[in-house]
Amino acid sequence: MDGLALLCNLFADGPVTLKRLRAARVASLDELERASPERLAEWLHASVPQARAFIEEARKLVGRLCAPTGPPRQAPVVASVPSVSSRPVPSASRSAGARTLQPGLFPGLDEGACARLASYQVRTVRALSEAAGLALARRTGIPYSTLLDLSRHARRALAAHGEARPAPTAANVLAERELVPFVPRPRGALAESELERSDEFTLPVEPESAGPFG
Amino acid sequence: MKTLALVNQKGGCGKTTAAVNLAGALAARGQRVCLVDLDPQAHATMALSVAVERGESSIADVLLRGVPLREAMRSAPGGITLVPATLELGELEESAVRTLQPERLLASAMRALDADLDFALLDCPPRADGVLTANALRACDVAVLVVEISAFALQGAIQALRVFDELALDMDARFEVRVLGTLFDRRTEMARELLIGTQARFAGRLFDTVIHQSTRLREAVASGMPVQVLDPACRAARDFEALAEEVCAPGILAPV
Repeated sequence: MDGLALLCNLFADGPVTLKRLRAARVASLDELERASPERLAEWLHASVPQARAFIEEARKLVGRLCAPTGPPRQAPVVASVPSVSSRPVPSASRSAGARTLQPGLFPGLDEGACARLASYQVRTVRALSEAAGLALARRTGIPYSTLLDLSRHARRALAAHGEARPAPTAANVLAERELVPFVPRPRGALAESELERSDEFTLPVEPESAGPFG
Repeated sequence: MKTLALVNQKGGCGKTTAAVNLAGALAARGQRVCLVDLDPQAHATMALSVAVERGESSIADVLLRGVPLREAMRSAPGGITLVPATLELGELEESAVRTLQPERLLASAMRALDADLDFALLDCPPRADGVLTANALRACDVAVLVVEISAFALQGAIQALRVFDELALDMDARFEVRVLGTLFDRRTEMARELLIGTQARFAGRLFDTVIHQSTRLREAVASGMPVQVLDPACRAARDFEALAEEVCAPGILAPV
């Protein structure tokens, strides 16, 4: 299964969409990315917004399939904590959790990641420690493994200041190399908005025998 | 004749459903298909509403008593030829200890059918190390590892691949391994992430077609017919049609 087939299975009807793309001589995700939404909509018998969303998903998938698997494992396990004088802590709070995310604060946290996280209201160490999830990874385009690592660094920074929430549970079974403490989502605006937007860019699911993708 | 064995040590991952409906899809394309039920639970036999009456032969007679495979063949819905199973097949595990090269029984029996069929599909029991699975792996050209798109199933599939490697080495068998994803529900984010993980793990060995979760498939099994007969326009039928197309494509079963 190549990337194009994967995309068709993830966000469309699989074989039917794949066949239509190949008939239109679209052979890879890169070619799909370059297609215009109007032409794609025509090829897939779909609406232009659906085609645009499909291209957007293709772009994200390209990023994920090409992305490195995460920061090197030999990186220090506890993030370095900048001195109080050098960090731009909001005056309202001096806790580690309230510290604003900055490039280089944790291994793998670069300027692009900071900007993408900030656009989804993840601006502080506390928010990063609580927000890591599949939905956020998909929306920001940050590889899930990288996001998990960043979140782990954030939790360790909090733990170093005695602010972590210890709650390891069976929800950690997917962590391959080490257990990450499970942090339940706070009941707040962020969790609710995530639930509402979890399928934001997923093309509508068709009923069994009909729909825009065949 | 191409022989495909549908295998996985895990039960409930869709082996029998895939075997029955892939056989149906291949038959619908005009291929001559024989489905051999190698599971003592006889689920493929039941899924095609075939009952083995007293005096009729089954795969157990072929493997335990040397009855020719042709005598055990039956016509089933959807243009499929079925070699049914019975509970008696379970005895093969015991009798194997008294048999020379018990893992070669099926391959020997199938040799006579080579010119009469385009495809033989072997529906294996849910274990990777038994003599029945060994027979299937010995007889097949391609072992299709049926993987449910779920976290634990993926781990099980990786273990199964290791067992296959050892079996292939022990038996000096030559078969390719391909992977088929099943029970996929793309509406859930977890399933989508797991499919990405499965693709990353198996890459070119993973069929382009993934079988989606479908009520129609369950209804087809309950009705004793392949889904192509029950509802040829449904998405499940289209999934298997696409899979059949992949299987029939030239070179698709060549080494990846």
